[in-house]
Order: sequence, then C-alpha cells, then structure tokens
Amino acid sequence: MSNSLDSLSPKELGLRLRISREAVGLTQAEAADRLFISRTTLVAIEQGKRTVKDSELIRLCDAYGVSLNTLLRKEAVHVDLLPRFRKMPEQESSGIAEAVAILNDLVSAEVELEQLLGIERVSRLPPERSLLPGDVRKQAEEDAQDLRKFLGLGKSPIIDLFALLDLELGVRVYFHPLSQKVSGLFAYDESLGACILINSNHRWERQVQTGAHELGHVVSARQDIDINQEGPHENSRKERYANAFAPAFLMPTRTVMQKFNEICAGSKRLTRRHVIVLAHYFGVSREGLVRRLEELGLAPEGTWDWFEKNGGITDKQTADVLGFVRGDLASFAYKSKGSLRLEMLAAQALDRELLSEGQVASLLGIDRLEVRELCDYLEDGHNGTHQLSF
Amino acid sequence: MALISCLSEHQSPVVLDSSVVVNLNATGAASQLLSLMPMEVHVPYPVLRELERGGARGHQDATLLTGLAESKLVQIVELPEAATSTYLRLMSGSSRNSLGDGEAATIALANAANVSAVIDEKKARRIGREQFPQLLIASTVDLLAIPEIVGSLKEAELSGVLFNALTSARMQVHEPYVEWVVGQLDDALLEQCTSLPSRFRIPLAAG
Repeated sequence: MSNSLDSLSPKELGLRLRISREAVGLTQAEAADRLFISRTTLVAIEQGKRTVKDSELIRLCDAYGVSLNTLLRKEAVHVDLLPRFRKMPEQESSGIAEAVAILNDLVSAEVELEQLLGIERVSRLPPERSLLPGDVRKQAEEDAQDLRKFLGLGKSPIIDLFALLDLELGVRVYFHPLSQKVSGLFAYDESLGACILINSNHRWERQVQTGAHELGHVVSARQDIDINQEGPHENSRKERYANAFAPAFLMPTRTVMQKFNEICAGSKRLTRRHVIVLAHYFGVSREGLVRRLEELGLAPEGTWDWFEKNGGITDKQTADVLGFVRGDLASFAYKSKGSLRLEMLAAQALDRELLSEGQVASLLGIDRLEVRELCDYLEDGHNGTHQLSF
Repeated sequence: MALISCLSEHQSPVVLDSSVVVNLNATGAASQLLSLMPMEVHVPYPVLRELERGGARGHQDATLLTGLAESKLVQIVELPEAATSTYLRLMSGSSRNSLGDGEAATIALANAANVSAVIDEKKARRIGREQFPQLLIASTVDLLAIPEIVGSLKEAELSGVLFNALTSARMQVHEPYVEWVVGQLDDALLEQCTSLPSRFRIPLAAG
C-alpha cells in the first residue's frame, strides 16, 4: 500500500470501497470491467487481502462518483443501512433506492460531525411497544395518547412535530428532495437511533402526516424499516397501526371532540370554514382533519369525498379564511441541507476548521455556495458576543 | 489605499482551487478578469469534478469553468504522477488534518510544478502553509488586486466585481486584505457583505 494511505487498514479501506460500490448499484464484475482489472482482484481489494494501488484507488473513486477524501478520511463514517432496505420488495421501485442512499449519506454525515465535535446524541425514545393481538387501531390510539403524556403535551396541538421528534425524542430527522411518490423512510439502528427521511418536495401538511406515521413505527415495530410511498398500501398490522397512530397523535380524540363542539356550535352542517379553522388549529391537512372527524363519528363517512367532488377546499379559500396558507410557504425543510441540526453541526465544524469547505460540501452533498451559507450568522465576537463555556 | 498583491509581477502559472473558481464566477466578469491576467491559470481536474458534483444542486460553476477552458482562459489539467502521492496523503489521515479532493489536488499540483496555489479556504491555506512552507498560497483578492486588473478596471467596475464576489459567493477575505477590500466599497454596500468581519458592517452601539 502506498505510504499515503497507511492510516487506514486495507480491510477498512476495502469495506469502504465495497459500500461505495454498492451505493451506486454496481456489481463487482461491472466495477472490475470499468477499471480493467479482474473481478477476483476487486474481490481481494474489497476484502483487504490485496493492496490497492494509488492509480486504482483514484479510478475506483471516479467510477463510483465518490470523493477520495470521503473514502480515505479516518473518521469518515460509513453507515450501511442499504442491506435492510434491499430485503423489501418496494425498494425496486423508482426513487426508493435513491432515497435510501440519501438517508444513508445524511446519517453518516451527522454521525461523523458528532464524533468530530465530540457531541453525543441523546436518544430519549420510550420503550418500544409490541403489537398485541386484537384491534391494532385501538392500540395505536392508546399508545399515541401515552406518548403525548410521556412528552408532556397534554391536549394541546403540536406546533412543530419535527422539532419534537428531534429535540425531545432524539430522532434523526432529515428533509431532502425525493421522487414525488416517496413520502418518507424510517430505519432504526441500536447505535444510530431512529432515523427518518421526509420528502422536502411535499407540502408541509403531508410532511407532518408522514412524520407522524413514521413516529408510529418508532413507537412500535421499531426494528422494521418502513418505506412510505404512494400506491397500493401494505395492509400489514404494523402499517395499519402506523396509519392509525398518526392522526391519533396529532389530533387526540377528546381534543378533537371539544374543538369541534366549540367551532361548529350552532351550525347544522360542516362547512369549509370549520374544516379550515380546525385543520389550522391542529396543524394538519384539510383532508386529514375531515377523515379524523369521519373516524370519530363527528362527520358522516364520505364527507371528504363530498368536498372533493364539489370543488375541494382550496388554498385560496384557506388564505381567505386564515389570512395566509401555511402550505404555500416554503417550509424550512425545503431549503434545508438535510436538517437544521446537521447544518448547525457542519457550521461549527467549519468554524473550528475541523473540516474544510470541500469536505463539508461532499459530506452533505451540497455545493460550495450552500456551504458558505451555513456560515451566515456565525458571530465573530464583534460588539461583545457572549462566549459560551461548557 | 493600495494593496501589494503577492501575485504582482508574477509570471509563472497559478493553480486555482474550487473556492477561487466559485468566487471568480460570481464576479460576473470571470472572462474579462482572466484575459487581463498575465500568467497561465491552471485548474486541476479534481476541482472540476468537485464542482460537477455540486452542479446537481443547480449552481453552474462547473459549466462556467468548462466554458472558460474552451475559451482558453484557463487550463484544466490532470495531476501528474509526481503529484499523486502528495494528493492522496493530503486526503488521508484524520479529518482535522486532511482536505477535500479539490483542495488537496490544488496544493499537490502547485507543489509538484513549483508554482503558486490560489486558495481562499481557511483550513486548506493553513494545512498548505504548515506542510509546504515553500509554497506561495495566494487568494482571490491577490488575483483581483494585480496591477494588470486594478490598472485596467474603472473604480466602479472593481467595486462591482468585489461586491458580486462578496455577496453572490460570500467570498472570504483574509486579514491583511480586508481594509483594502472595504475601501473599494460604499458603506451601503458593505452592509450586504456578510462574509466580511462584522466590525466593518455593523457600527458599534453608541455608549
């Protein structure tokens, strides 16, 4: 091995090369062809049994589209969530493989930054609830209320679900543009914790619904990964649980009944204005709110379908009633380079010169200009900015 | 106040890092500025590849760089064998002491060719100075302050070029040059230059 690489063992380097190859979906034979080496040579390199030459290493990284520094950097974290998703039939769908790779990269980036900065991420997940025999929807309702009590939420609506997930429960939550059909992913690992990826291309209300659904998986069936996408839904017990958990968590039964009574008092029918105000109160989509009302027997079954057939409940109507439309605002997530926490960690690493611009760009999969934006609002001590002592 | 650029009267080639390419593109006058430079300008291939990866997010630096190469204003060069070992070494080891691909390539190429590197990135400049004390490491401001450019641009043009680099690219300006850069800009423009130290942008509170 070249002296330039002797801080990384051949086995570790080989493992990283294998993960990088698999991340771009190349077989060993395909990769070997591109490099004009034999498959057995590549196998030996990946197993750490054969020293990789400098020129081969450069060509391998070119072929895999990965940064050499990412591969060689000692503290680079190479999370490998891919094999878990590979077992699911859905992962062959378009967009899923890409989403899994994105989640993998974002988790790797965050873990590496934590290690570099000497920060330990604290997970405060409650013990997992197993799925018991019987009605999973009732279990989900009860578990959702128990979690609300655990978090001290009482009966109040949730102002920011993602801040709750991240800052209260210690869940790693990321936003990234994904294929339109993919709402989100969930994976759990003992060392990494719970990890959720949300499609930043979706409207805010749909993101919240996805987040709450994935939270259902965090609470129960934690060890199973989840792919949340459009199309025929899996009808497993754990999916039915998560589907019931989300509205129960966001819109607790008694609170919905109470607010419904207050808002709709004196009316003989449910109007668009009622739906808009209640959805705004709970921070959910108009459809989500109406379906919850149907579920709780506060609106006849088919109410949402009626609204849809009769012009829907539009953003303009919402803006007229509320004075703004939350879903029209680019959510912070849409512009985020992964997550707010990830951005803060990266900015600190830059400020302390633990990582360079180029390293942060490749770590977060962003360009130089976006890296520089991370440094906005880093105080430079002018006007007596307070120093923090830990 | 005049600035003596460390690239004044510099005739041998310079090697640009991604950080500098991004700044030059942001000036909106990269072609004009490069055509005024008396020295050859080289950019290592890993810098282009790095910018291409960033291009997936919508910014056009790789495309612009390729255009400059087609116009023969810059040369995109492969790393020679003599630079490979240094290149890989600069990217290996601990995160704290290693660099990104483009940064490592710029230093390795400049060192192997015995020419100057142009890098704005703080950590890369530090590691470059520590490990290659004989290597001249210049910055974007050094390029913009060479007599051929300062002498050819009108005051307003130079101000515009600097303002664009500072605002569109958040160009870093290193300490000996801050006052000169600030001197080229009106107060009203300075407020918008968030990459400059705040003491130049935010007046101290009275009392």
